[in-house]
Amino acid sequence: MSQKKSSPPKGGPRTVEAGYHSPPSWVFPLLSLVAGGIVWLVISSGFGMVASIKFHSAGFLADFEWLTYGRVRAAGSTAFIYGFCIPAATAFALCQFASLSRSRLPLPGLVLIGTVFWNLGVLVGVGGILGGDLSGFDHLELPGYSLPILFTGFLALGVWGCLALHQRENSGLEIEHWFSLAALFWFAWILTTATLLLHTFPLRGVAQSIVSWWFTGNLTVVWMGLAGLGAVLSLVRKSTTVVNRNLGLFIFWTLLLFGSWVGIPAAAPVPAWMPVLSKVFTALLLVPVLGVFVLLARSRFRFIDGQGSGFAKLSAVMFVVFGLILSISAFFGFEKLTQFTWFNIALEQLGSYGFFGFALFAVIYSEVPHFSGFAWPFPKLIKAHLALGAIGLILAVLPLMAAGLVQGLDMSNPTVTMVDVARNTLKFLRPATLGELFIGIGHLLFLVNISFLVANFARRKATVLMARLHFPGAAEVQS
Amino acid sequence: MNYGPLVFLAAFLALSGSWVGFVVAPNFQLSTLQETNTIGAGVTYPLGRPGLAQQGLQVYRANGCVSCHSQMVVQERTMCEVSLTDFGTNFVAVESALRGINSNYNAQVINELKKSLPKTIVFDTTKQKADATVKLINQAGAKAQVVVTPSGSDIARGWGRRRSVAEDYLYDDPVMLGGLRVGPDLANLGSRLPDVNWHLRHLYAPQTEIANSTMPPYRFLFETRKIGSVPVAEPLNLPSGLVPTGYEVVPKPEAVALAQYLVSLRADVQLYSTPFSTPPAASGSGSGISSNAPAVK
Ligand code: HEC
Repeated sequence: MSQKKSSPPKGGPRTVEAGYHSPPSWVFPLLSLVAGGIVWLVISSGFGMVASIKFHSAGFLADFEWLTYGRVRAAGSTAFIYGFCIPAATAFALCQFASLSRSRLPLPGLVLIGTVFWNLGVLVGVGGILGGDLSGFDHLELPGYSLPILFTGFLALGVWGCLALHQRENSGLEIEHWFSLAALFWFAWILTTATLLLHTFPLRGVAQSIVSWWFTGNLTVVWMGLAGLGAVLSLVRKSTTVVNRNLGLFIFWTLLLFGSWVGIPAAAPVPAWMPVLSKVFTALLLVPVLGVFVLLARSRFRFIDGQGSGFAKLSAVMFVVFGLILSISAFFGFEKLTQFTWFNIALEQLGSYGFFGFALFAVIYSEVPHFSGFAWPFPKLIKAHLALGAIGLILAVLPLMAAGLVQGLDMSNPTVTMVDVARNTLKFLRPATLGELFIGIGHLLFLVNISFLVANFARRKATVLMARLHFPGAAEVQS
Repeated sequence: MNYGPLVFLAAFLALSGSWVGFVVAPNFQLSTLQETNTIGAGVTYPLGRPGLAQQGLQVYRANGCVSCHSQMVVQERTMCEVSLTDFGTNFVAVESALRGINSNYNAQVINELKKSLPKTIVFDTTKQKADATVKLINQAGAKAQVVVTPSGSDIARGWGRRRSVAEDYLYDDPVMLGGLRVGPDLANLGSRLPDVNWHLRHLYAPQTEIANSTMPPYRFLFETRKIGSVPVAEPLNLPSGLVPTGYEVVPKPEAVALAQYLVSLRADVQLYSTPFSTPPAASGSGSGISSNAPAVK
């Protein structure tokens, strides 16, 4: 932290040497995509804090229409999923594909367009939510008018990813590439479906809810599973026993096959075969989860050394824990107790933050120095972020799960009034708010690091540009 | 070997499975869903919500009420009972029929029973057994009927008389079933709290209506104005101390629409898919509530 701003960062892999090594022109837009994601991450935890505080004192900021609980909560979760998760995961996938080829990649402008449109879409969407245009569909609170903007952005990024993949040198792909590619493809599919059937030509009645549950399940289990495992597996050390290709493919398959049916609650007022089918497949998720466990055990739980390896380890553990709880909770009538309670919120947080968020932090911390050519300016902040994130996650998830169980027991007893049910959960929600605070501080540290890194990068780029103007013939290495 | 295309094709098939199952199929199965007839009154259900209530649905959506409230009643099971309503004249035949059901029915017990009809004679049984019992009793010249009672904690809390079914939401857009119950389920709110003014006061300051309520207030749906500045339809009748003297609280149109929506939430008619036997009282109570359900109370 004592590093002077003026001196270029030392150490780290492939630091820019003397001479004008300028990175390929897609690097800067991709770096901005990641940095923009981290800005949204900080914004999301800000909204999350406001929503949490409103829980303990309902009158807090109650006179501001745009800060009412329902809107702030939706804005926070949208900023996290659409602001951070999707662009960061996509940036990682593109970076993965680009690194398969050593030749110059075409149309870097697509990445720029994608970055701009995506962030514009999120901005319009979150603004719309605060203005009261939230859709009312969980995990897809974005107003209908922001979705085409987002879709355009995603299309630009996806097309560029396919171009990069097309130019690769070896025809075979590693298993983690399959995960990332399928994640890109499936996200485009579920987003299109949900946009068309919930906004453009809205279905009638509960068919809307079914599509919305299907979208949520596929986003939080299949998409996050694919993209997150793609990230984590890329950091698993493969030297010991080659990460077994067949086992990897098996996990890939079973996750797609079973995960895509998850999400219709048992109590849903829909034709009875749907919740039953959903429950069966939720139980079957045990198969890919155990697969991941075996894979990790075979590689003796060793990860490639990098600044994100701490997050990678946690993320891998959280995947297994999340998957186990999710699939086991399909048995024993457990959902009778936990339906409509905080337990499900906690479980989702375990998956989408503990597993998926941490997987993204891991690859960002490990890979950004490689592809930008700049080391993290404040390595100590990474350790602090890891500690805050881990403590925050435990504080946020465990009490919330306890709250859910207490709430479930209370609700099943009709003599306990709903006011008391709500009040009995408050003592658990307080530590959870503290956990969110820790998580939020961690995000701020993350933002500090990426801002300085981007600034270093931009300064170098400007120097290169100036030099080019002054000495047009100067040697330049373009990879 | 390059099995890329193969992997891609198989992934495509695997994923399209759930798409066909949960997106295409329900659309076919539910697109034929229409108004049905209710049991008893035989009226069409549901009717669309009246215009103001439909606007209120949008206020409900815009303020994210769905993040704390569900709108689906869960029924854990359905209890079937047999109730003896009329003893008839043939004591001996009825006595032997009752003995066939339960050997504890001796003449003395039966005489007691006879005095306090209607009386439940078979508790918690299956539909088939209940039907068989009724047949037996009727053959003996007495009258009995099957009583179907949905049960579960939601129903015990008075959140509804039966579980929610797909028909209940036919005309709502968006449909907001909700997944977290910080507050009560609202699927049948209008049946238990039919007073629009109660809702307005509760929205303005929940604690005035429900002690220790943790629901956030929605004061921004109201205007505080100097009394007499503009002639208004109806200011809120709030406890003193909440509003400075000389001022009055007037609901904005959004608040009025939201309250109308809340009282229109009534999904308590009997359908053939969800029977329940508490017989509806004679209709025409004329409460003047506009709702998507025919007035049965
Ligand atoms: C932060 C969570 C929260 C939000 C958001 C919320 N509520 Fe509530 N609501 C509660 C709680 C807790 C109760 C129980 C205490 C009470 O009745 O005031 C409740 C009770 C109610 C009741 C009384 C139900 C009954 O059966 O007694 C109604 C009506 C209601 N809410 C409507 C709304 C509407 C309309 C909105 C959106 C404008 C809304 N609520 C938003 C938490 C919430």
